[in-house]
Amino acid sequence: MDRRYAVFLGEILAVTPPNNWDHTLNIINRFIWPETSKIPDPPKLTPSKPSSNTPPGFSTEGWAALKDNELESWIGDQLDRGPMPVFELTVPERVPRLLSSPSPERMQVMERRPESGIMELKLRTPEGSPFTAPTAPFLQGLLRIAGNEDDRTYLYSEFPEAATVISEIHSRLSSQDLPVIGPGGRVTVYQEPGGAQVDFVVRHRERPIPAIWRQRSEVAELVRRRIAEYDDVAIHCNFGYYELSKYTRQVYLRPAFLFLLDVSVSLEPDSNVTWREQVVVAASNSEGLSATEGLGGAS
Amino acid sequence: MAQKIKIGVMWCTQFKRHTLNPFRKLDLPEAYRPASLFASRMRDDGHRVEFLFCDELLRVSDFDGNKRTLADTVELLYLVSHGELDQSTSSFEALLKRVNWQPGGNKGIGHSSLVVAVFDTCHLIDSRKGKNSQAVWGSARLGPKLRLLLGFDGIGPMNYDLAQRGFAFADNLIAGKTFASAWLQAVNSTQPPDSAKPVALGIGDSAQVAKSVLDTASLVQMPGTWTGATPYFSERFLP
Repeated sequence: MDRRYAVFLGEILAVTPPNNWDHTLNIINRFIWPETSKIPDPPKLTPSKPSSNTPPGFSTEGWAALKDNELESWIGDQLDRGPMPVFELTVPERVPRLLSSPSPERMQVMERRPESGIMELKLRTPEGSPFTAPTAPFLQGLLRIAGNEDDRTYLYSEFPEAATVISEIHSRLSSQDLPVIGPGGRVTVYQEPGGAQVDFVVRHRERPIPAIWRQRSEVAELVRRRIAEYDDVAIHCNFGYYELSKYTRQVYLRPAFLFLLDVSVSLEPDSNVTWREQVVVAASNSEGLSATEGLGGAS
Repeated sequence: MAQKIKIGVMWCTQFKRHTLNPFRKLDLPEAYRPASLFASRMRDDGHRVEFLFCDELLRVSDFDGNKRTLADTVELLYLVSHGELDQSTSSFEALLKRVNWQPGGNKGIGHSSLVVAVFDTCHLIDSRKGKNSQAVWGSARLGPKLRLLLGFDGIGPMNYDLAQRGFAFADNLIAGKTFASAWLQAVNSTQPPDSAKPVALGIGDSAQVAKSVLDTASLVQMPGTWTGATPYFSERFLP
């Protein structure tokens, strides 16, 4: 499939002053899901707050640092809630196409990646001037697009001084009151020379599928087996709906445990080698789905 | 127009070391993936894979100058393995199957061709332990061609899906992004937020020149040489 079936709007963006991104993005939005008769109000922006359990160097919510013997109890706490569905997602072949561009040489490009259906918006500033930090209307415009992709609660973080990621918007599934974790589930604004790129890694949910929680001991045992392979392990974990990166096809969005294992093996005479492994374990079972469906190859 | 470059890829999935517990292993079964995905995407775009070595074929004498300096036959090197800092000198070492390779030791790197080295390993630097780029690489033998080092600050993550960063890095380069942005974005977009700290190091004759390499160097704008005397570094991270 051709990645360049996108966009539009080079002309509009070229004449849009930077303080009027909201209007521009609103127009863009109407091209994306054309069957949407009413453009919804933009989701409310909520600043993201680091969790008090966040390990050093981590800033996103929900991380817990655990000892080996706390694992099963923590898993049990996460599963101590009502049933939550697995969601079937719109497959990349069925996401709405974007309009073709009339003038590729001037364009600000909106594309969908063929392997995942994820949207990328590439903005160029006039004459290559630096892209300024996003303003509230700009972020609201992005959220309007994200909200049309999938209806979620969005939490933003801004990094105006940063050279690479200047804004990141994480998402939660409101009705389940769970964050979306993993490499996806977020809108990221990347600063680039003479412009910016925005990745909307928020896949559209089609329908819920009933699921039942797995046994806490079953999940804990899977992790313990990995831990047993090493001399020393530090465990950080998170729980939520797991969304893959923009480079991967994903058909189901499901609740999962994400474990980061900082593992260490001791060498003779007195050194060690350390590295980080990531383990993703499905939190529930659903009829007709394998235990690894929707979790990529990592599970 | 983007320059077509020569690339070299290396990875190590198995390691032979004396572990205190003989049942422990250092193996990285998915280390083949970032390098393979990177090489595959780059080759698709017309870049030349000059060499490809893995596991038992990784002989340190091919890289440290005792026999050859293979890394210096390409413009971009992509190595996936374990990485550690030497306990006494703080120099970066990549683990090969049986021994460690110190890229900045012996004859060094970047004296004839190598412009960008990606050490997709742990510990390119370790700023939390005070081992910044100057401490780790300041006394390394870095030649005048070498302008960028890409890797992780501290511990680096590895598994099947995270390995997509190799593909993402190539995809970003081909899209025209700078080497620094291509690497940082590749890691950011393929891993859960805050689960590792990628870093890009620019190298030059002054801090300002080192920073400008981070800002500008790309396949379209391959950087020229520096004097190769005293290196200055500029570090760039995700926020």
